[in-house]
Amino acid sequence: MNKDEILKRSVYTGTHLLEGNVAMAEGCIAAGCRFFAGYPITPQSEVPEHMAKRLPEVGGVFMQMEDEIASISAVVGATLTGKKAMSSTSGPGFALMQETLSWANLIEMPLVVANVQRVGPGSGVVSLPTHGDITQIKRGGNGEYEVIAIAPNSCQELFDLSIVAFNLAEIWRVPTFILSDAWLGHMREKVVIPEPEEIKKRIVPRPEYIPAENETEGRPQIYTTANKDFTEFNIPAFPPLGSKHFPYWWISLTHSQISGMITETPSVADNTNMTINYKISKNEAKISIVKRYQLDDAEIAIITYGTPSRSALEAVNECRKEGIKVGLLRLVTVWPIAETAIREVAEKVKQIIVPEMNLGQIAEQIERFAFHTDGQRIPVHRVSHTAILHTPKEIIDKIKEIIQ
Amino acid sequence: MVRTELKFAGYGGQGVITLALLTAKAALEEGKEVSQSQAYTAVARGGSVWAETVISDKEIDYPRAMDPDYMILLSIDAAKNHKKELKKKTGAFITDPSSLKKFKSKKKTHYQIPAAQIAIEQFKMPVVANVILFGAIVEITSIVSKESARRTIENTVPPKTLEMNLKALDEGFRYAEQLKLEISKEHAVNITA
Repeated sequence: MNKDEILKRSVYTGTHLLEGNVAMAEGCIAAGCRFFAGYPITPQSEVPEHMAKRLPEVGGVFMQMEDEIASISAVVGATLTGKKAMSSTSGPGFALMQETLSWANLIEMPLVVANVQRVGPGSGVVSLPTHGDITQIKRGGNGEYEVIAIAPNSCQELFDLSIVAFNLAEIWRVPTFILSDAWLGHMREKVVIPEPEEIKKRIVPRPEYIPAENETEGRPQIYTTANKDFTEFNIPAFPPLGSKHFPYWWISLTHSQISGMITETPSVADNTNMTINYKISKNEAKISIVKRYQLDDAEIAIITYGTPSRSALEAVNECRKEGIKVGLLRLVTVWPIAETAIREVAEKVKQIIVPEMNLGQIAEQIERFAFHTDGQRIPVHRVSHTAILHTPKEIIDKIKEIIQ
Repeated sequence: MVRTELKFAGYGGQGVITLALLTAKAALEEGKEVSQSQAYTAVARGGSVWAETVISDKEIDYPRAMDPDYMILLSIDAAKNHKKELKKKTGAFITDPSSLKKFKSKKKTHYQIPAAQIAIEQFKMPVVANVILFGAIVEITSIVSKESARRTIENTVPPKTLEMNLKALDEGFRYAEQLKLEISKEHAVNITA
């Protein structure tokens, strides 16, 4: 198959009624994903099912593994060889992946994992949605690392933002996560997929590793380096293992960002951790994607992400009809936390409402930034649920309660 | 049509989800916005199952049914569990008396479509009951044109069964049209009385 043929086959052009999980799989294939390893788990099993059918059509490989530990290891293996690769799972499977994800973060590996969340803890409720894994995404593994996580709220976005997720993974060289849930994954909606040529313009390909451009003292520079203040970062391309220029190893012990060798020197280990974390957190304003809605004159801001943002949007529209000045800041990317955008909103409003399908994992983050410029703290009200998606009415009731 | 919400309930195997899917596909045929969701449990056969379709000309914010316009009930359990969700004054019930005999609504319009019975008696094929019901739903709700409903069936069923399915669809249209006429006459009598 030539490149044009593969591109054509990888884009399911047209207007379709697609299930969320399938729309996401199509988005990932369009983004250039050519390797998928996974294990069935409700509510995401439609993703591997669809991948098994579609990947061979585009010259890709689908591997059904024996569990999620093997799945993420296979994804890491495929990424090491230079492929865009992904896995998809739900909460319990995601927990199994943490050890390997921690390492993938250490070596700044561009891969994608989709988490179609279901109720936990434990095996939980397989068919009900929740956003209980929000913290696990970046605090589930050992050590400390910052990731990028993106939260679509419709089937169209599951397609579009899956492409964005793969792009962000490449640009920032970091494991990137697509956050869906039982409810979104099984919903069917209209999805419009453009022509392959249009999609091609949206894709960020894996940057080619050019040795001459990525060398320090004759050694290949394979990790990100930063200036002293961690304000500027040089992110080298991810070199495929075993290639002529990079016959090296990837190690799981802490390395020096410069030499790539194992280190036990405290200051070097410290520098490694700061570099991989600050690369993401200090670039928050560049990475974050937010959507602002009716915020210009808002006195109350709803801040939310994922599926509850659709309930919130309906609530804002209803409240506006009654003259209540409420707006919505939607966090399209959940991690890194959109500090700049949240501060900007907090400065202008009197109160913040955070509807979440967990007991306040992002509300905790928002509280850190909920201040006016004079230092006055503003209230952050949670509308928390697990297993239940908020109805617009519930959010409207909360708004009316707090303005009294 | 600003926003129309249809809720379907019955037991697994009756084609509740298929019906919701057919209405969603039909709406898509006309370029409308659509959101379809359903219960997701082990309901291959026998268990309670529900599905819903929200159709709109505008972008759909909240994608679930908040205040259904039509409630399609196909079993006794479904009636028990979901009857109360139809609160709208203009809301209507659509039921199949073959599987839900004793169902009455005092205040709401109630369309009884004996789809399963028609499927067996006229078509000798129980499986087309869904398509008869789909035809009746399209006729009653006017969510899409009959032409779009036909195209939906054409794009959905296996070619071999297309002819029979199109006939079943027409039967659904015809039965519902007749029923609508009767109900509006009754309504007129009630007003004059």
